[in-house]
Amino acid sequence: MRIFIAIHPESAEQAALVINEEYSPNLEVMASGEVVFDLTRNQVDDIHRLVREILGKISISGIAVSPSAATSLLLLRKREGVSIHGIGGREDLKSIGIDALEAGRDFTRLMRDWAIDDLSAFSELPEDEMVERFGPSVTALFKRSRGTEFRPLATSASTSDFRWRISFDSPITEVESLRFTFSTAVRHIFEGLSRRCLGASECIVGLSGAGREKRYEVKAIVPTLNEQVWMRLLSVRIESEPPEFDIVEVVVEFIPARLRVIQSNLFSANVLEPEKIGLVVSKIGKMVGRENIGIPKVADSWKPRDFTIDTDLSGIEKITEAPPAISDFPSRVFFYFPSPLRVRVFFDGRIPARMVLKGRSVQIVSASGPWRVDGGWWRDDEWNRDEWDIETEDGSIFRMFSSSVGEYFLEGGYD
Amino acid sequence: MINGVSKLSDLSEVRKQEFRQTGVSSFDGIVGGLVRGGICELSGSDGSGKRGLALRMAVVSTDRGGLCAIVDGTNGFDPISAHGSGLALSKTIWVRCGGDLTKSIMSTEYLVQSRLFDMIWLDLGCFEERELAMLPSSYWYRFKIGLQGSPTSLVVTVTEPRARSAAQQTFRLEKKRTSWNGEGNFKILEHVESMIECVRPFPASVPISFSSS
Repeated sequence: MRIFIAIHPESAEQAALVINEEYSPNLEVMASGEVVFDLTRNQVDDIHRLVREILGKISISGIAVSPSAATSLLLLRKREGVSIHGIGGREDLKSIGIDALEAGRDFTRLMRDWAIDDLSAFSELPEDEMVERFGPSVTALFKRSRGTEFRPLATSASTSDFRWRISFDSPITEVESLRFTFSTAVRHIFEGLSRRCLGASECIVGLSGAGREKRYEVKAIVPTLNEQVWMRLLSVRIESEPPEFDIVEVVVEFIPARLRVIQSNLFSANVLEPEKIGLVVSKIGKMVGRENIGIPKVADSWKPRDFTIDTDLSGIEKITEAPPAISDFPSRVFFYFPSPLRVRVFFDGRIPARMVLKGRSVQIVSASGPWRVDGGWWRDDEWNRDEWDIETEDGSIFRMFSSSVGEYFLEGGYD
Repeated sequence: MINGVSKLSDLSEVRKQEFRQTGVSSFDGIVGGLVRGGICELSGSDGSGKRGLALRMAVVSTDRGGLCAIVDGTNGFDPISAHGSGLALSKTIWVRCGGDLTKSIMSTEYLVQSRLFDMIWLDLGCFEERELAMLPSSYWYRFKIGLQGSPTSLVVTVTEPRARSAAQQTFRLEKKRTSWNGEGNFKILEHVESMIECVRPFPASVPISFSSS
């Protein structure tokens, strides 16, 4: 159960000192002066006792408790004294006017015409029908009216909260020990970052020992709390510039930043520089033609050669598709000839047995096919052809296809 | 442990060696992997597996988050089979040179100089030998100098070796055996066995098996 406590602006400063120190460092100061604390991790058994405890320590003119930060603020602004909603409290949102939804003048007027004057009455309306009538944005209004609207706190914290230092009696000489130290530091700091709904954008590592010091700065492309990614980034960094001394002290510090919604698989060993890539691509594009340089793009179809080149490189640093898992064995790769080679083929029954390629007779020792490839019959660019994979006497493996007029071509080979 | 090294002091040595694992245990075990900051030349006839091995190197490179560039001399690259082999296309820059050797070389030069790529694959496999023979050897030395100290590996696939002493690694591939599964018309290519003959930096032979897809 999440617990958010909103404190009136008049008591905000005092509350910030006491609650921050004793209960939770995770807080957000609103522009209008209220402070909202996230006490979710405090494992509160009796919310009333906690509120009494807080009131015993601070003189508070208004306090509201709810499982939602937004609802806590709503209650604080609309009620006086102590309000508890949703966590063992009997407070409901009945007497809070419909204008608290902040849904616009027309919508509010319409609700009043329907005799829906408070949030409690609004929450009892049939949500499906309302969504059908007013659109999906109404769902957020229902959440607000029921006190279930969620938004993370936009916390502020100093970098010193995310620094971890350890000294060793005997110096570290093993890579594994250093990795273990990093892992412990990362886990410890990330716990604090996670409580504040923050990510880490940069890590500064300081190693010292034998009168020497070494400092590493590791940056991520976007803020993340992915421990594996950070461990990998740190390993790569240390590997690239190993400390050439035994280590007696390690300081790890993360620079906090707001998390981005999309954050997985955006990291690479070499940090990409989009501006530099753009420059190189334009230089080459000028030479080979802009349409001939880009990211290969495969269409979801069985059509032969159904791929393109995407000249928009803005997504180069973003993984847009999950690559298939790498098998234990490398694969043969298909390659196209500059243009299909026309051949005359002689069959033994239905099996290709011999072909004439560039005036030379070549024995076909193995063949697989015909494999019918067709599709797009509902479109102008319908395709259909028969394909074979053939192995010639010299061991080469080609893909052969027949055209609609019965001619045979070698399209490319496997290498 | 990083790259199998447990002592911090040994990491400096690892950095000097600069090999990139390909995931092909027989190859990595004997030659150490793909050289970083240098040229690796894979030669052999069509069907020997040179492009398959080069693609494997590109797959591993993109899988580790690196960026790969493919300089496709004769527009022969097939993204469909490459993607099927595990290549992350969104981490790949494809340059189609339309059969122009000079453009292929110049494009590679730009890519090498940028130092942005983990791997550059220059495919010259479909060019006429006569045309390749006209290529001044100074180009290969320019590549060699440009790659020094960079994280980039330049992999060249070609029928006959061209880079010679400019290459840190030279391998000749030769196909040995093809295995088909099934009978009659509807057989499926199962796997192909090849032999990699290491010419440079030291003579060695490495058997390698390719799957069909």
